[in-house]
Order: sequence, then structure tokens, then C-alpha cells
Amino acid sequence: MSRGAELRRQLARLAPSLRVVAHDVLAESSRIDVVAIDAQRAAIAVFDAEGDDLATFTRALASAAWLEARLPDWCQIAPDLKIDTTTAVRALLVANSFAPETLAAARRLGTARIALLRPNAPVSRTLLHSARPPAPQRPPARPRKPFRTGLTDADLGFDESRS
Amino acid sequence: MPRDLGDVIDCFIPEAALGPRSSDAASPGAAEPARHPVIALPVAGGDVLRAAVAWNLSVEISRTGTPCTLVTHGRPVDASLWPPAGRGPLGSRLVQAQESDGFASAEPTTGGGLVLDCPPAETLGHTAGSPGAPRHWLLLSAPDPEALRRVHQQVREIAVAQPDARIGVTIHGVRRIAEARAAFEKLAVAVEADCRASLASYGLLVDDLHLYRAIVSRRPIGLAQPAAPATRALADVARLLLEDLGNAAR
Repeated sequence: MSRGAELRRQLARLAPSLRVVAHDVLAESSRIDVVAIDAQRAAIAVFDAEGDDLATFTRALASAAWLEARLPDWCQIAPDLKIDTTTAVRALLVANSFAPETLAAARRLGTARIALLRPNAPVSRTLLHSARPPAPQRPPARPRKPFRTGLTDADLGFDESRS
Repeated sequence: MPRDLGDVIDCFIPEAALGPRSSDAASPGAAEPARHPVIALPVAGGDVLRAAVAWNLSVEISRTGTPCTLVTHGRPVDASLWPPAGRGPLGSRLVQAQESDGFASAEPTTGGGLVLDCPPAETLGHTAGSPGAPRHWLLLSAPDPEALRRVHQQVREIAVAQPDARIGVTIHGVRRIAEARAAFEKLAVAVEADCRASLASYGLLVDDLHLYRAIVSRRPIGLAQPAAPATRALADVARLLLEDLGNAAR
């Protein structure tokens, strides 16, 4: 079984709610192994990070940004997918182990940007970071504040005739 | 076997469980609560107008009894944009931070006061998202559509980086108060629709050559022309800022 097929098999096993919509997608200068959408229709770029996870980490962030910019185009081509273009594309790295630097970097970026998945780990340690951050909620608009000044046109030497 | 990401949610290791994040605790590099209110007024390289307003405003704030420290961020292009670092008129002070210092270099005045920090406007989104970035922002806009559009973009960059930022706008270059009001309201409506943010109004400024010559002459307009309309307008902006910041600056 190819590594790509193995990756898709692992995803199907660990997170069947992820729907694979594309694989082996050429991004800026490298390939996204799998593009999936989750149950909330948010896009996830999945990468096989086995071997050199730190380098994959960088590539994943760049490719997720690349993908995010193109999601509206994807929606035009495949409207049935109903991809949520308002949520940031997250990267999901899959590897049996991760370097400490990768863990630290992922922790630093937070769950809104990156998730790390270890298929061979005990279930309690499978996901080092949530693959699904809380959905961002737009805060309600705050009441509009009025224009303020304590001055009058006369204070500022504004002449009526200049208007 | 887990069926769904939701099924393994208990397997997620919360960030807190990944071990203590000592850098978030009381380590020397950790951000401390600002002791003094800080207002950011972005100034682009070579932007004489905003530099002049910032310096004159810092003096005008100081005139109210609240010593104001103006922090500039050193770039070669700005060598002639600002007065020399050090003590200025009426208890004001100018500190030139190195570009790499970020906001941490906004060394506050002693004995209370307020910091007016002038980060580079060219990298606003990055600046607003950097550690220690102020929560209060003051942007200047002329009333014409192009200027309002540029400031709208700046508001968007700040709001994205800091959803809880307090952003205020002063309109400059108007000939009537009604013109400033209309420009502000137009911008506020656009920002509200686009960024879900509410702009604060910080009055208006009047164009006056003395304002722009102040740095060259090393004489703030508040001293050179204390009764001029431009000075009154500047004092009104200072008053509104201090009102919003409350007595914390005193």
C-alpha cells in the first residue's frame, strides 16, 4: 500500500467524519497529501509527517495558507462540497512520533492552526492537539459611538461661507 | 474504535496538560500588565503629518498635567521625522526605541503618565498582533474617500489581530465640524459592517502650518500659537483621549 493510501486509511480509521475531497494536491511548490473537510465543513490539509516532521510542519503551514486563498475558487468548482470558507484552513500532521521542536511549535500556534496525530499511540495519546478548534464566533457588533468634539465651528475659526 | 473526532475528544490533550508553560508564568520575559496607559498612533516612514500630530499631541497631553512619553521606532528613513530623544516641553518626553524592541521598549514616565507609541504603519497587522501591543489605537484620517478607505483597512488589520482593541479616529483637514462628523460616521458605519467593531471618535484637527513646522522649529504649536484653532482642536483631542483612559494615567 502506498504511503498516501495508508494515510487515507488511517484517517478513515481514526476520524471517519473527515471527508477526503482531494489528494496529492500541488500547492505552492509541494503537495498536500490529503484535503479533507470535517463535519462542520471546515477544510483541513493533511500531511504525512513521518520522517521529517519539522520540515513538514513548515510546509504544512504554507500549504494551508495557499489552500485557504483558493477555497472560494474550489467552492465555485464544487459547490456541493459546501466548504466553509470563513474558517481558517488547519493543517493536520500524521506521524508516529514528533520532534520536541514540532510539539513546541504546534503548541505555540495553537489548535486553530495545527493538529498533530499519532496513529500508533495509545488512544489516550492519539491526538496531541485538537483537530477542531472551537468555531470562531463573530462578536456582536458593539453600539456605534457618536462623533465627539467639545468645540464649535466658531471655536475653530470655521467660517460659514467656507462650507 | 473511535468513530469521529468528537468521539475521541477525551483523547485530546489539553494544552495545559502538556506541561506547565513556564514562559506564561512569572518568567522574566513574560508580559507584565502595563503600568501606564499606552495609546498606539501608527506612523509610516516619512509621514510628517502624523509625526507632527503625535509630537504636538504628546505635549498637549502633558500640558493637562499628565506627563506623556512619546515612543518612536527608529528607522533610518525617520531620522529627520522626530525631535531628538529626551525631555521635551511641559513634562513631555521622547524615547526612541529600536525597531527590534517592539512595545516592550515603551519605557513609561516616572510618577504616572501616558505613553503614546508610534509603531510603523506599514506593518500594522503584525505590530498589532505582537506581544505587548497596546489595546488603545488612535488613527488619523482626512475626510476624502481614499483616506477613509486606507484607515478602514488599518482598522481591519488591527481588529483582526486584536478583536478587543479599542480603536479611535481623529479626522483632520476639514473646514467644518459637520464635515468631520460626516467623515467619521461614514467610516464608523463601514467598520461596523465589516469588522463588527465600534470606532471611538476623538474629535478633529485643523490644518495649520505651525503644527507641521513644530518639529523643525522644535516648538510645539501649543506654545507657539496657544490660542490658534489648531491648538484648541489638539487640546480637545487630548481631553477626549484622557477622558476615555480615565484617571489611570494620572
